[in-house]
Amino acid sequence: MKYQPEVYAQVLIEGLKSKNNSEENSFIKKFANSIKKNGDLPKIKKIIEAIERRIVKKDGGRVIEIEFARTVSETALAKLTGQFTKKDIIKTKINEQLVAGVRITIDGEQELDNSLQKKLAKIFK
Amino acid sequence: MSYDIIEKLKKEIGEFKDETEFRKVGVVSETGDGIAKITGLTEALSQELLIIETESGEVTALASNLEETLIGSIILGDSEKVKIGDRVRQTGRILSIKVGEEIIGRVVNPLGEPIDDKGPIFKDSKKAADYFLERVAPSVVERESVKTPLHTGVKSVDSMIPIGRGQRELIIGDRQTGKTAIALDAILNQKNDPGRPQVICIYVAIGQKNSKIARTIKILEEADAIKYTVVVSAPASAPAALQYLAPFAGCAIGEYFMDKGQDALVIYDDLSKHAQSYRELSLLLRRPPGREAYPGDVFYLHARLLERAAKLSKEKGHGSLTALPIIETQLGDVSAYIPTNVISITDGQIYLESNLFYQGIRPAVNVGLSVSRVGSSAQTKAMKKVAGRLRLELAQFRELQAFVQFASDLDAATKKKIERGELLTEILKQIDGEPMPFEEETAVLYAAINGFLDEIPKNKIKEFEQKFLNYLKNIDKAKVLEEIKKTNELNEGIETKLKLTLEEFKKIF
Repeated sequence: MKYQPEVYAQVLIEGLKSKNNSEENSFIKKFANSIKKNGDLPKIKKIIEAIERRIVKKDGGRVIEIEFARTVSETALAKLTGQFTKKDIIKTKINEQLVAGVRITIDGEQELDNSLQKKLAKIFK
Repeated sequence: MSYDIIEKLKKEIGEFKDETEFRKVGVVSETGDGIAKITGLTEALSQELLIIETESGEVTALASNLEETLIGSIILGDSEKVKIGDRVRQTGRILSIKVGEEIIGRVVNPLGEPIDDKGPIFKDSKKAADYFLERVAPSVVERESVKTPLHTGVKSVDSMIPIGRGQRELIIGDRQTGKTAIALDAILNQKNDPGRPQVICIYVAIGQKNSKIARTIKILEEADAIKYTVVVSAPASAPAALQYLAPFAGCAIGEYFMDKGQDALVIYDDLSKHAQSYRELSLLLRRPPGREAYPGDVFYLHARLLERAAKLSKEKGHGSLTALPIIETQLGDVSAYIPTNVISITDGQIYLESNLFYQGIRPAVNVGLSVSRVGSSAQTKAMKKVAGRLRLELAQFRELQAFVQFASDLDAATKKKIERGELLTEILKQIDGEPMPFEEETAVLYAAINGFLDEIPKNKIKEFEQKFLNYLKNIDKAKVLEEIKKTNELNEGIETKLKLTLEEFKKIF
């Protein structure tokens, strides 16, 4: 990868600041072309995530990733997501390795691990 | 029985308390070739130990590159266990090694783990101290001048390129010129110097073949030198990360003994391979390559390592750490990047030449290009007395050496100088693994310098030397060797006795 996803995200956000509505589309097109030219298309998912993180951060929100061991009911999910603000982006994921429980990661840096996997690891440490 | 087990398990689980709380984590975003790129952990410190929580257990990594968006880390454990998405946590600690008296006589890896099948090193972990692999070198006020000799047992080195305790002396030369042999002789000779405190030796093998390391350990064991030696092994089969850490681990072990007021000797065999392993890591970490593709801080890498060799002041306990780094040159090119770097860092160099080696001059020390910048102040008075003239006579011989082939057309004085030079060259020859106590070196060199060997044919010089030493050790009633050893001097009284002994011996030789 020629550039890190964070670098692409920064370029896009900074670049869009000085563009008006009519210029925006051509700028985004050029941006996409440069990703293609640099051979970084396979990493597009990571680049989009980085852009998303920056936009959310700019608006004062956080990227929340919630991992469950198995599918949870709508009410339980609503109860959990209700703990966060509307500015936050909430992503849910099924991770069977957790065995049971939930793991919440905020901005990819802070973690609240309430999974059985962690508790078992702690017992057998 | 099973009921008991269940009850015990219930009790254990019942007592288990786990309060879930937020913690800072990072995530492995890329991994390969012993390197892991980690996102998150924005507060990680440079050189901090990180723990990667993999599916099959925890793996340690070393934070090396702190970038804006990620951390480039060197994996110290099994890198194949690490996968993308694994969680990483900080430890708040920097890399250290457990050191204590019990480490002496052991073979360890750069992380301080035993690899000699002799079981755990420390029976009582309280007796072991944690020593950081990276540590700031002693400051100017904490040091004092080098003044105690560190005898290597190699005649040409001890007489003309003397090494002092606390000095850094480079051993440089092409492959197969006897660099390791000199370093090993220096270790073996440490039991021949009973008048001075015992030197603890640390032999750091970097990027060597396992067979060579095994051979070295065997030599140390056979000579009973292992009882005051520690071997740090990072063979060629070890990951580059371990090869990079090995000299720092050896240095940390040496510092433990230095801080205790003891004398330590650390041999880095060799720093060329160390530089190569650092280059490999740096390129994998995508640091910009410089000259010969080495990273920009390769000078700092060796400077900060070798600066830790020191002779500590009285207030700091008088300990010392002597460093003998080894550099392997390619086709005698001392002007390459790493050799010039290390030459400029150290306090002198012992330069070994392939030409001399193939001529049969072993150790193949090129006396003209070798130098010791601080060692002469640590030389014993006895050795100083013979060494001054030895150096001068050899220098004169080198100047006249070109005329050796016209020997028949030369005047008597020049002829004599050439003959004396050849004799001295012959007497400086020595077999590997047979270091000589300094008093014996002094006596032999005294005999050569003062013309006692002039009439002896070149092919009989070795025999003369051996028999003379036997005579001094077993028959000599004046006990000249013991007096030199005791006083470290060659005063008028001892010199007269030595002369008489030599004359007596020559009668029976």
